[in-house]
Amino acid sequence: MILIDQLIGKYNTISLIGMVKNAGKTTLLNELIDQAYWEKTILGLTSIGYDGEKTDSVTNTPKPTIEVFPGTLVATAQSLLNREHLRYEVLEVTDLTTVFGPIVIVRMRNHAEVELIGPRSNHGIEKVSRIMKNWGAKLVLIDGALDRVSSASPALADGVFLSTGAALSRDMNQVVNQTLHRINLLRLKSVTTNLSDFKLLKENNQIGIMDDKGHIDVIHLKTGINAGSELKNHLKNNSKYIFFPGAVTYSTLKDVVDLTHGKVAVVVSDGSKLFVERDNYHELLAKGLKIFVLDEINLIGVSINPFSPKGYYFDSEILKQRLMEKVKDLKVINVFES
Amino acid sequence: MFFRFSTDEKLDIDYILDKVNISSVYGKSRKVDIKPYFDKDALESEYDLMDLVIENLLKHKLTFTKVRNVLKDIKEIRGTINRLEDGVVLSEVEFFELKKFAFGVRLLNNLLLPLKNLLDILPKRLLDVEKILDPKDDKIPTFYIYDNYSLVLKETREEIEKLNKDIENEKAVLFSALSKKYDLKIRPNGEIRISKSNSHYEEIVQDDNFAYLSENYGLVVFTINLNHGYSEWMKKLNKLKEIEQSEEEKVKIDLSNQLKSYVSLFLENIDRIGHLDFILGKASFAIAYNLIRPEITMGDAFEIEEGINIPVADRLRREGLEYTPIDICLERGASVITGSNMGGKTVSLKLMGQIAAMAQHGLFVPAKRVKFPLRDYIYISVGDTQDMSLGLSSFAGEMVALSEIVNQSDKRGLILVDELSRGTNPQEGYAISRSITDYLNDSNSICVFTSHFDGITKGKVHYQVRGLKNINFDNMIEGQSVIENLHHQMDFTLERVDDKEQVPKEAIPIAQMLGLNEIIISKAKEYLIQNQKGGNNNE
Repeated sequence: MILIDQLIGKYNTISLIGMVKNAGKTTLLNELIDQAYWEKTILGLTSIGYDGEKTDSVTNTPKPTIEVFPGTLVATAQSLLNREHLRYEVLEVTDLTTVFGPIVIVRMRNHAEVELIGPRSNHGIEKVSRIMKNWGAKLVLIDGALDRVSSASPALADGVFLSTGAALSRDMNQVVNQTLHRINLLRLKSVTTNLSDFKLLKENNQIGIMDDKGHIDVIHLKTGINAGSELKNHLKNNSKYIFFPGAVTYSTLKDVVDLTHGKVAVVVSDGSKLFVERDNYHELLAKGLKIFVLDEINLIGVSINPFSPKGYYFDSEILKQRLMEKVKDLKVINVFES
Repeated sequence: MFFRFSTDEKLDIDYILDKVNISSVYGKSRKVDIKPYFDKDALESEYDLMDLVIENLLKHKLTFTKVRNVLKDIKEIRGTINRLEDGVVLSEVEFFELKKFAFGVRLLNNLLLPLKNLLDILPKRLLDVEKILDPKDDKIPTFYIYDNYSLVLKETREEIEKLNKDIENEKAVLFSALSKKYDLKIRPNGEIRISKSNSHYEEIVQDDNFAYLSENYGLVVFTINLNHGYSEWMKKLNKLKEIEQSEEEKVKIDLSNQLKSYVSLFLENIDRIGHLDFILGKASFAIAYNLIRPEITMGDAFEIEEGINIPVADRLRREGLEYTPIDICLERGASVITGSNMGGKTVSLKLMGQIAAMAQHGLFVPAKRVKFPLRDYIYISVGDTQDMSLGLSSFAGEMVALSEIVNQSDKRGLILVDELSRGTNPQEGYAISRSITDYLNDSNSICVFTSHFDGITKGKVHYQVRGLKNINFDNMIEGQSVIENLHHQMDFTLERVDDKEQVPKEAIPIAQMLGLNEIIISKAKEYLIQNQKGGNNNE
């Protein structure tokens, strides 16, 4: 199956995120790069913050490096380009900084392996994507992240691939259920009113409560974590929405549901900011939790890696089928399918 | 130290400098390092340049918008220049930065050369650098180690390309054969992943075309062994790549050596770009705030016509109130300003300091006309808690600073003191104030004091705030706060009244307007009459 053909022209930027380390995200990325090579399509590549290390820093399992071909555009930190084997043309040096030097945009001139360390912010990712498009990239692939610390969100990409796999659990049911739960969160629907007000809160990184007349009470808290007592002081009878700009956990959602009995809907920046387990989430839904996002994520596919670094593996066809039954409109790809 | 005892902070100089918008890193450094001029000629020539830039700015707005964009895009290269000077071999990214800088200089020249007389602040073209880093003369601001740099490099790369093509062709044939034979997908880099349970696994292990690479996720990774059957080609290719790499290294050394002779030209341009950017910022500020070029004199007369305290005027405008411009003529020796509370004495005192500081730092000034004699230093004392952080009371803080300032009054300073000796009892406060002002009246500095003490003005230039002289309590505007009403009725004009020694008594009516209760006010009026009958306590 040639996937890249279906993506070119339809999307400008695609973000790849993984449910867990070793979910096969980098394998999918390399697969797309290979396909682009066969199809003679110019790609732009970058990542959110750190990624593309030779060895996975957590599990120490071998992690495929990002392989690039002549003509590919790459946005990465300057010191990672000081490698003898790399041949490239420097196109732009940005003012985006990392501990490894500024983010530089280059056009590769040889077939080589590169390490990607891209910008950490939404603004930075948007900027390097735009630059690479201007220099001729047909599609920009962003090696993304799904964690609490990343400030750059997959929501800013036109399309998102979620990678999942056996690394998540020994129990295939668990893998299927957790993945479907994550898909649900990622595909949460956008709030329909007062979008510009919520956008402003997000830009200012502020928690805010909106009442039925659209008035906003800004709460000065760094995160929503353990904010129960503070929220209590601000929630009124006529409160309608509560907006959180950053990561939101079960305890915060529980605080809101317990304090308001579901009368106040939670709005988060996007579905990748929610960190609540499936059972807890369903418990809260039963208690009346209403939840919306500001920016919808356009999930276009799920990739599965049937192998776990711990040695066990699933029958990839069964795993694939079980996911496809539940999410009929998504592409489900086995990254190791030959 | 030009500003004594945090005078710059008290004058809100940072607020004023914030109005000077800078585009480039070099302009920013220039602004951070801003220094006072002590040489009239140097200051005048800076002013001449500003006049020129302002004239051009007004005529060619679009050009200067483009200039700003170019300036914004000029990156910091001082680190690279240092490395170049130290003989370090630069990297591709660094060559790129130098090329981009040279292109930026070219763009600035293209934009500004057609305008009049700006040659003095234009960066100098780096024609040789452009030639070195753009050997194909294609004017594209990107960089790589171009073929043109070395014949060996050019030929090696051509050979590599040719060989690569041959190998690719062979590879394609081989890949497709193997792919068919074993029903495999081969990656562009020649890798295959195969499960041990695959029916072809054993055959592949035996096939010399494959070499074992690694094993993960239960899959074995093989790579197509191009050395098998193509070993001569691969050896040749690797050899060529080695030549390419060492040749590139030679080119980098050579380029670094060539560029080293332009270090001083780069540095001069950095300076010129910083200056151009800073002047542009100052000129735009002058246009936006209607600033004027002050007349710099060698004498001791400091004259301000319709001067404006920018931070206060900005704040009033935001509150919907109007700022009254101030006229004042100062000379060597001591001048005293007296008058109403809320009559703007402190604001006017700061205005004098701001205009002096701006003029001396090469900025135009907010007034209709200014005559300014360059100063050796500026000192202002205004009622604030700055000195208390040093563990001193406000009186002690004032005396510590004044004793130092008085000792240097033979220099040509500007000394501004708000409510001298306010922090102690009126009798002694008066005595100290009068003797300090008497002493400074004979000094070489221009000294201005605000005071509520009668009699201190004797023998000095005396300005009075016109204040509430013409107040009409029936004229209060409804719906406005007392403060707003007071502001509207207050006449901030400074009048020269050298013959008057009594200070205006407007504290009681102002307190009344501000809502102090009737019983207290009428008592206060009684005490005032008693006091005046019994002779002036201060005298």
